Amino acid sequence: MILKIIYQLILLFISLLLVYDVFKEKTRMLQLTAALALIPFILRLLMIK
Amino acid sequence: MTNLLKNKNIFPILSLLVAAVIGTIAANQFLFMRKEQPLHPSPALSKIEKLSVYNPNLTGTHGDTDVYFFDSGNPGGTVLILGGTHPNEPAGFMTAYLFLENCELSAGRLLIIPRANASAFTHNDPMEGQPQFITIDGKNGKRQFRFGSRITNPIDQWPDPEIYLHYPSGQKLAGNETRNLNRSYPGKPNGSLTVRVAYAIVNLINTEHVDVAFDLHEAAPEYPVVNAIVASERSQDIASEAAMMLEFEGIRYSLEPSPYNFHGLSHREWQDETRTFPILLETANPVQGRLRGRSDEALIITGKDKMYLRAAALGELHVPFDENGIPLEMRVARHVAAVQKIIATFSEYHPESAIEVNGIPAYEEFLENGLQNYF
Repeated sequence: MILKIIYQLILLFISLLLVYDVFKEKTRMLQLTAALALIPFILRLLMIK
Repeated sequence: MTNLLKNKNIFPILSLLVAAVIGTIAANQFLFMRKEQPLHPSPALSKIEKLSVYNPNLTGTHGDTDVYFFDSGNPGGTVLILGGTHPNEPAGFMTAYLFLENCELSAGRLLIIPRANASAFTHNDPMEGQPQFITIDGKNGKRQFRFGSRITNPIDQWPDPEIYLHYPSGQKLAGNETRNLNRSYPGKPNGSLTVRVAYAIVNLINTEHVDVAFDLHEAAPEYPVVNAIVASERSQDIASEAAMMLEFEGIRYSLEPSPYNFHGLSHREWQDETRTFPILLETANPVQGRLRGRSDEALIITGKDKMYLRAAALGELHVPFDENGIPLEMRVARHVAAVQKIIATFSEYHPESAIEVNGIPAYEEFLENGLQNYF
């Protein structure tokens, strides 16, 4: 249970970094890439996949 | 409006919206995989219980599943049929569904757990490219059946250890085998989800005084233990006689002894922890194998694969394989024939615990009518 909480906190942290990255990247391609990379992290965070 | 379009945040926001749409579609697909397809039990059904009755620690988890009870009302023994230990082995769970939807009983009881590892039905094995469903055009229209994974969903049991230490033997296996139901027997009430499911099944066998217990599987055609009846010491007599009788009918099965020192397997631990006669059945399914080509519904249903045809020509397979493949229909027919023959043989040896299951077609009749006529 503790491991799961730590795991989800790490996921949340990486997800927030990715959202930050979407706004901070300089090219549109990298902004879109960061947004798409967010999908598996969010699905995992919500324990869907 | 122009200012808005030039705003540097517009594209990032649009990107997040695109990701949200794709994520929502993906999430819906994954959540849909958790929805159980309805089964339609035969009129012989007496009751449905949850597996958590036999281990309350399963209550409310994705490991809890239905146990179907068919009681003839007449004296006799009890048979358990387990499908879906590995939900990526469809002949196993389709045979359980077939008994569930078609059986009639005149002596004894029949218990069926069609989705033994219910959590493993809720996802697919990564990197395998296998379909989420198989579709049968049945007598009442098209029906979809979930095609799942060999092991419990990591959403329900995580993380895997580096090395899986089997309880109670201490045997070492690869870490992900910790989510394999057929490496988790006899289980314990408070362990991981898979171990709790295993414990519930063993407890059910003991509580319900199950005389004969079947665990239905499939394996790759290049795997040595295939088209096989795996029997523990207690089951050897009935299994060998049944195998001979099946051979007389042109249905070849090899008889494999349950290994003494490989722990966690259903037949091994049911032998050691219960009084039942344990039997595991294997058929050959190309979708299980490493040599296969495209892994789609057609491969599962027709069992036809060019690569396996080539492997057969090279003598690399343990089963006959020709251009007709090994269709699901034939794999289920083999399981059905073996289950019926073993029940009949057990009943002959133990008339006081005889079990008579009717309404299930014989091998030839089943192949003639087709799988679709029973669903």
